[in-house]
Amino acid sequence: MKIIYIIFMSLCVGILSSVLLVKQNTSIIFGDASDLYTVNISVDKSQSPEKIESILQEIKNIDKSQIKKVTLISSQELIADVEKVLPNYSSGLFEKEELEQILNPAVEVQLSAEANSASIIEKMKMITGINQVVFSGDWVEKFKSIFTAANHILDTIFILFFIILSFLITVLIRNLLISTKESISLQALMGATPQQSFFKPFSQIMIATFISYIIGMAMTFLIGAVIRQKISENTDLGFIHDRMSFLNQTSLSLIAVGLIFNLVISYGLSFMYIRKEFYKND
Amino acid sequence: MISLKHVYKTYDSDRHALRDISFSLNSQELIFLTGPSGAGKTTLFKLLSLQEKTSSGELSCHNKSMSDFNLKQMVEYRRKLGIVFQDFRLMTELNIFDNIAVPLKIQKYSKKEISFAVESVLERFGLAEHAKSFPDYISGGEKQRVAIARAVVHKPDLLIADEPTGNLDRKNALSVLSIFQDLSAQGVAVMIATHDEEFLKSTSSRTSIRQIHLDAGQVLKDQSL
Ligand SMILES: Nc1ncnc2c1ncn2[C@@H]1O[C@H](COP(=O)(O)OP(=O)(O)O)[C@@H](O)[C@H]1O
Ligand SMILES: [Mg+2]
Repeated sequence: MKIIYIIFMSLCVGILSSVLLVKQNTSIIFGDASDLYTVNISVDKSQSPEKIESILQEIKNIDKSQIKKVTLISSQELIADVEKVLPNYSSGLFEKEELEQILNPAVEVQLSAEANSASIIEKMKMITGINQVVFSGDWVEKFKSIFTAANHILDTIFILFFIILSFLITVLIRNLLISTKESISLQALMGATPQQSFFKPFSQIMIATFISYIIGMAMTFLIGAVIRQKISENTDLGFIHDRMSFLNQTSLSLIAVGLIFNLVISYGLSFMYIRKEFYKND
Repeated sequence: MISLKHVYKTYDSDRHALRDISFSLNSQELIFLTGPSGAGKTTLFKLLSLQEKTSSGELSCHNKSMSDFNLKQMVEYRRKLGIVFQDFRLMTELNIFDNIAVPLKIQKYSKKEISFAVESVLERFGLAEHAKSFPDYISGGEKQRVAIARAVVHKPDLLIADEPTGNLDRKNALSVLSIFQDLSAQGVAVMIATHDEEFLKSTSSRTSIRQIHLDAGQVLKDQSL
């Protein structure tokens, strides 16, 4: 009988910690808001450094409060980036000067999450000497609603399974108290305190809960390890592999708090039940 | 030591299980609570062991009203009480030694004190050879003696026994009776409920005996024999 509870409780804990794992990793993999609200601007070729400097200043002046950071990436830096990616044998294929002619210098602008991106981008396009404006947040905006919905679903699953878990623990303690009622009432009549009377059923519930938490966490760890393994086999997803993490300190603390909360609740419930049943006088 | 003043107990509103009960009992008394089945004997014991509350009237211990007991006082009172249940209520998962040790463990006696006290009652009640046996494997008479041993091992001030001889043959009943007489001679107040008045006639006259006769929840007789 207890085994069935342990199985279901482990499943609940497994689901709870998996939700935490997913939530924690989605923000890591997809980055935070500042990662998402980046505008990439390419400047017309062959501009004098003074002209570029004045373009940068003009961008900054559009909205000082909503533009967090403006970084210039010169043609030389872009060439270095390209060379890093291209295989060695391609070096010397182009003359540096030729490349500088081909590549436009770029500017990376980071907007704050609250920024009115559309109007800022419009104003950027109007600055003379600017060739192209690409807002990386465009696609994010489209997925954002799906993303928030998914997050709400995860939160709901978390709360739902936490309630189910608490319910299971409560039912388990109730059954244990009823099945040991005879011995509890006998001990109460012999002068045991309520704590003494329910020591045995409560220590059983504690052990069952701990076992369930350990099995549930192990399940999550296993799933995480399998996913990581699968990802590492796919080189395209290397960046996810690097960023993915197992349960962090916040998630672990949340799980620990949940465990303590459940134990406190079942302790309180058994105390109340036993006092009501066997210490009526008081 | 314990006194009842105009105690009433009703389970359903229309009928009294106990009606206007008043008496007091002192240490060293041996009291037989007699009366037909349904008279209210078990109910009276439930009040005395704080399993039930009085509906009205006052039940007090050393002049302190028991209905005012807080949890701590209730626990302390119960630790000075020994109860022999009609159906024994032994713990089947514990052997005889451990069954008898339960009240001492609850009161946190040391291991040494426990083994000394349990061994001496085992000896006294002729149970020494059964120390390691389990309740399901001993006879009815032996179970009864284990139940009594458990009720007295912690030297209670008051011992209550509900139909303690109901399941026993004449010979065993008499030996249990003499155990109770010894206990009261040692200063324990003993109260025995029985519906079998014949049984009273078998008591030896070495200790004074008091009879309280209940019928339909009322005290009809309260006399010394
Ligand atoms: N828990 C209960 N609920 C309702 N009525 C009860 C309960 N316990 C006892 N009674 C009633 O109280 C009366 C006294 O019962 P009891 O004290 O058991 O008598 P005795 O032990 O003398 O045979 C009986 O009429 C019985 O039906
Ligand atoms: Mg009865």
